[in-house]
Amino acid sequence: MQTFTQTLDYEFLQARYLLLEVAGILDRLDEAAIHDGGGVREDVRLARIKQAIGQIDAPANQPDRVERILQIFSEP
Amino acid sequence: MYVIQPHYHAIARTTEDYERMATAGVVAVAEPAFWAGFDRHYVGTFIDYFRQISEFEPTRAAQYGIKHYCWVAQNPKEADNLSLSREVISRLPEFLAKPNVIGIGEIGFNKNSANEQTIFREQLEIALKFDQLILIHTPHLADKVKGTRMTLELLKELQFPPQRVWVDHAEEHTIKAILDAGYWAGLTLYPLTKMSPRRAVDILHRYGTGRIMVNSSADWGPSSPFTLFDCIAEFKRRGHGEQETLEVFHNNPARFLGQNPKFTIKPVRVV
Repeated sequence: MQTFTQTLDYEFLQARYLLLEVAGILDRLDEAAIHDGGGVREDVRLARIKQAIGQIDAPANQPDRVERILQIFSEP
Repeated sequence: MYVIQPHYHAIARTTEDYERMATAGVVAVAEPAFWAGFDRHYVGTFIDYFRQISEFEPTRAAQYGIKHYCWVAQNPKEADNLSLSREVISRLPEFLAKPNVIGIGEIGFNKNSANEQTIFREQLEIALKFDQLILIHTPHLADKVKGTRMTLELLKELQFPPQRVWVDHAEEHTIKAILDAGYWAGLTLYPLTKMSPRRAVDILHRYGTGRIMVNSSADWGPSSPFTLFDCIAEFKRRGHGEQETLEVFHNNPARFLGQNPKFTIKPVRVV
């Protein structure tokens, strides 16, 4: 098993890249909504994306963020 | 589709790249001088490197119908060694006279150190003296904003003609200052670390296509010349036609690089 520092060394650039990609997607949605002439639209898919983003930095006692986010995108 | 790869480190790539790029429509590559992955100790090592990119690589590219051009310089990552750097840059003029050498680059900052600034300034002065185009590397991560600001201040101080300046590796937080100052900006695409093809298209939408060139990272690290084609596909997916695509991925590099008469590929119009 790798140490915390080894893991962060390996993952840092990937995390930075993926966060920028998600930010880019949200920017694209905002720009498209403005282009359409309205504000940000209500859509359950966008609501789930934002709920999932909230889970990324939520306090966790165990590494289960991926599972919790998959639950958000699942039928009840 | 005609494509120019304006920033391509052929020395670090296999011949298969050339073959596949030719198939995809690449008509020319331009190879800047860069860091070899380790710090070199001898001026002769740099001279042989400049010979490789100015004499040998054009022959390898030509086998696939691709024109190969190059830039020579002391790169920022090795510029902290002042005495070696000065030996290297004293030899640049002989290479600037070669038929496929189109300018001085990559120069600029890596860690924004005082020595880097000294060597950057001295190479800008050579570029002014020999009326050359310049290609500027900006730092990649936390150093990028400061390095870009220092770059723009130095260019302004030396009153470098803005149309002859290409500031590369721009991102969302640096491109506006580069374009506002009248320079050309480069977007360098990476597979999974820095600028992505989709973000590059966002930037083209936001800032227009006037003085922006898009290039792939293509070196000895995790990189691929075909990220450029991912970007072309994304640009077209968002509704841009053939001529608009040519303007960005062929004609803009042709316009910038064509300021040096050795670069003979002209902008094309197909529609």
